[in-house]
Amino acid sequence: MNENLTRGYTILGTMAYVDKNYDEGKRNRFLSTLSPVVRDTIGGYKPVEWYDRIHFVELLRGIASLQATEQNAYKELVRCGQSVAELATNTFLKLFMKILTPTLFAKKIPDIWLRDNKSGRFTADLSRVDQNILRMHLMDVAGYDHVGPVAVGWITFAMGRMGKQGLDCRLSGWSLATPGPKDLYFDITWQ
Amino acid sequence: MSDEDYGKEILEKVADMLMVLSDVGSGDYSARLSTDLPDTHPLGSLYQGINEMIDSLASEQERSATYRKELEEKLATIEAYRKDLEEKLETIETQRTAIRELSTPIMEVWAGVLCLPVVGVLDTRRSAEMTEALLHAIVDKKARCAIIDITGIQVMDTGTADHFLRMAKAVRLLGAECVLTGVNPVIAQTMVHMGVDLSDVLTHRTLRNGLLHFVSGANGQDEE
Repeated sequence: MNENLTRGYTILGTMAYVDKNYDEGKRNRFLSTLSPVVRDTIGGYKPVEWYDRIHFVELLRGIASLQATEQNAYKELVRCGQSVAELATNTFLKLFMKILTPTLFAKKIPDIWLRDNKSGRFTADLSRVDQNILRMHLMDVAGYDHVGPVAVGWITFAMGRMGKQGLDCRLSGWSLATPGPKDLYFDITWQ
Repeated sequence: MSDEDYGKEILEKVADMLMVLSDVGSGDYSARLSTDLPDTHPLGSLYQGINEMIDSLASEQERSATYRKELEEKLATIEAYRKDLEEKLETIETQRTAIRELSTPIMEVWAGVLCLPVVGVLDTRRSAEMTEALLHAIVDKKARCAIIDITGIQVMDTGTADHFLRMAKAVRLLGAECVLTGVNPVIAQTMVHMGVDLSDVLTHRTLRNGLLHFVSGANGQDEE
């Protein structure tokens, strides 16, 4: 049984990002990178249903492939992650964001990850949170291409909602050459 | 536990609650709050209440989905019935048209002589259709006479007799002669009994006699 599943709203959010930000030509080039299976399913995804994460990965690969450089691909995927997080933030998650602190966020990150994914684990090291430093570790995600930069988008969206200034989130482990490593690390700092 | 730690714990529990409520708000009714809180915990009852509320919502959602499925199936059945009914109505209409055409068979039995055999019941609508068809045929074929044969009519009432009289008058207005044939003894008696005045309409007992009347007239011979 395939446990590499992700929620429909991550896929829908990514498609919404494409629809909102890409002109027709760019959107068509993006769609041409998708497999017939994914292309045929677009429009049929349901938000809370679980889908093979390959559907999401294909969209992320498509987004990355349209960028000329690794740096641009990274920025584009981060923006996409922020957009997906924003779209997924319903009334109760807005309230959740209001009471969120970096410590609470770090504690809840494993649960937040599992809300949307059935594989991989997200943990946080809280030992230096009083110095405004958080180190997060996303593990067992080999083959989950480009989830690293997208997760940077999710994290920075959440931290931004907490009103943290001077926010910096550095990702280790990801590159265009190795888009889906087994482990990803996120070093987050703020003022 | 210090007040600060207690506050943090409560906040954490509230965060859990909001995450679960967010899941439910998105339509995921499988989400539940942890039930491992001790009975004395201030949020224990709230957690329990929220879980019960989600159970109830999930149950209603399931019922609603079942109803929706049933409704969709019924709608599909109704749609199938509707299509079937439409096809049947179309068939009926086609057959009705065919029957209407068959019920007004106007034949040119001799040069300038048309024959309209009438079978079955003659109501106002059918009478109007017959009259219209007969008049058009008279004009189209330049007919000088029309034989209306009522051998197939078993019962004659005042309404039916009136239709024939009107038909005969309309034929005469076109300059053609109209003959009523096939009047059987029962109908003859009925018409007399009803006081129907057929003095303006030429009648013959059989279609053969009626036809001979015109044919012999055309050939300058005596009729039978």
